[in-house]
Amino acid sequence: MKALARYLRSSTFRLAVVYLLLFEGSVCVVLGFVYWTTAMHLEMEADAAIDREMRSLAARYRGRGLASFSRVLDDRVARSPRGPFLYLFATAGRRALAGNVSGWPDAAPTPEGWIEFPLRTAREPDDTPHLARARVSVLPGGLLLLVGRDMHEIDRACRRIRLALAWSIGLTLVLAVAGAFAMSRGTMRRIDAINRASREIMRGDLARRIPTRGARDDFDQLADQLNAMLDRIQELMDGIRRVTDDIAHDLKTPLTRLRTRLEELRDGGGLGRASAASVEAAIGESDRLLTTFAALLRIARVEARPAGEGLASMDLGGLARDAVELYEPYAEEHGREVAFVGRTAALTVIGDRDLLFQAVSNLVDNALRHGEGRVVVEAVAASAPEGGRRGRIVVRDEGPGVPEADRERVFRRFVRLEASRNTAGNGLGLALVEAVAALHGGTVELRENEASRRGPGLRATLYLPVDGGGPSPPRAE
Amino acid sequence: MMRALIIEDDEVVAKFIAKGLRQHGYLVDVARDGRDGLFHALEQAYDVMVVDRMLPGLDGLSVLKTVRSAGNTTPILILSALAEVDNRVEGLRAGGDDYLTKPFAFSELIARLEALQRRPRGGTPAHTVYRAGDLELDPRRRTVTRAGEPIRLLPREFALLEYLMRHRGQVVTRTMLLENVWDYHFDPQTNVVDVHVSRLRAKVDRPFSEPLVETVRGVGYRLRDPGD
Repeated sequence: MKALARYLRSSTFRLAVVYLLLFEGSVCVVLGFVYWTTAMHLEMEADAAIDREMRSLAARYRGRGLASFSRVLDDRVARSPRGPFLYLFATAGRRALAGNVSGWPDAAPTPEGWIEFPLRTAREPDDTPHLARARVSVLPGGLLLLVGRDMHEIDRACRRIRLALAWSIGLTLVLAVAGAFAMSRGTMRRIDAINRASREIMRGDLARRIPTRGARDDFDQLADQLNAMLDRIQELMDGIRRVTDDIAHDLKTPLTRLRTRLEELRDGGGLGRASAASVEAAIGESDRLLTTFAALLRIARVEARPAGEGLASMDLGGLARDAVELYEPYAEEHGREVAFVGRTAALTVIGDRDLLFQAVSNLVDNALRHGEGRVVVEAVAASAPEGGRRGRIVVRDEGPGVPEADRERVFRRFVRLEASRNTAGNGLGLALVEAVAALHGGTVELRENEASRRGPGLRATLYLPVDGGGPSPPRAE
Repeated sequence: MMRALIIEDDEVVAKFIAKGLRQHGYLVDVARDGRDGLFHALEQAYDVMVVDRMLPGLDGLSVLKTVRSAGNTTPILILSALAEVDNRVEGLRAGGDDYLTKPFAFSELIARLEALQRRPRGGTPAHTVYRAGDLELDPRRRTVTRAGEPIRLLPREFALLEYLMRHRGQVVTRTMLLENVWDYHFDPQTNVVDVHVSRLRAKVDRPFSEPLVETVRGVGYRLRDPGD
């Protein structure tokens, strides 16, 4: 049913339907024309025959006179009682003298003398009165002569033609619909192949390419273009990774040296108290610089990593509990509380344990540093909007929260809100959380904490695909 | 005298490590590329090796694999600018014993090297009770006593003390504690580890006259062993 709906929605099918309507319209017009000319021709033939007969009879009348003419007419009727012609010879008062029509028709003739009337004749015993077409002539002496034809045969022929034409229209319709289905199925299959490949590439299988049929048709050309684009993207991503590694290699090393020189200076002795304090402060600064630098590099590395790479089955609940356990003494020392809420059964997701721990600890850290009150960490399985299950880690606090307008912005690098300017931090924590979420095919979301008993609070939620519903593990190379 | 081999292509870093190690009483050889390093590693006996991951000629991991497949069990510390976990796992799988990311403080490097050399080779002894002064920790019975008095510790505190006692007399850094006690490789934004250590101190040191858990400024912690 779903597949049918998909067919009906597909642009190929719609195109085919439009074409079908055009085609069907043309067929109707052509066949209509054929019918019209055929019917015209038949009628004209009949009229011409009536004319000829009328002329020949009129000539005879002039040659013989009334009684003899009546005999001629009766002869003709008798000779072929089932013949095509109808005759009626009548007085000016329309009283029948001879012929095979029972009475003078009521219908008024056209100026040319043509008349059409239902035939109440005994010639045909069936019920439906046949339509007759006839011509009326006034013979010398005011006598009337009607020569006509039973149109029944022509009608029947026309009906047959109409029926045949209707059948052919119906048949072309059926054939065209079937053709449309077949055509759209063919193209849809190829578009599906492209879609499938794209999905798998987006899931992280960057080495995958769109299959071609080798037919060098437009679909193959499209696939080739897309594949070339993918090659380029992969090249760029490799490039980013290389640059990242190069930066890491080239810049972290001199920074390390700087720090080491400062350490040597400090440990070498011979410094006054003030200088020693300055050196100590400089070491602290270089440490902060290195930390920021490392955090930036880590985000870049996580972002450049193909989604799903290097992930393995792990217990999200256990990880959340570990994070709470790690931060609990720190919180207590600052007069705060961190608590874990959630089930004790394992909540298995496909993930990078260390990166997820970093993400969760960043969230807890934020909640402790910028939030207030009790911090609750929750790990549960929830149903995903697109169906299936997903894992959810929620970290909520009761602090001032993040204004709605800033909730997108805070994920950017180095963005720190005015309210938190005075607290420690480099503005990279949430950027890393978002990068980690994306690597796992998950999302992170900030909202107000409805459960807060103090300020508006913040409720940070990290959604992750659960085991089985997540990205496929990377293929062995 | 301890012998150390440094395989590192960056001249400044190599010199800096060599100088530091010599100051700590090591006899140091430096190789500037993978092939040279492999030659040294296979020809001579070292107590510890420091191998950079990215090397000209032959990369660090290949050096590692070759050394290990030759049956050499010398502790090896991998040095790398690649911070990510997959790289770490790759490095450890190739036969490295520890993995240190650049930039690093020399104190972190030396702490890890010392820890590596104390690492018992070929499996842990059947049953060891760790002692430092009057402090005793029995890993199997999961008990801690000081001066004969039992001390009750939470599981994580126990693991923390166990690690400190296993490396008693050595400096252990905060990162080493996170990696070995919590088993997570990550960067805490705050001094979470310090708070755990001070909790441990409150139970192990505070009631007694002689403090055993020392803070090493700018580096980490050391469990003093008065018996040494």
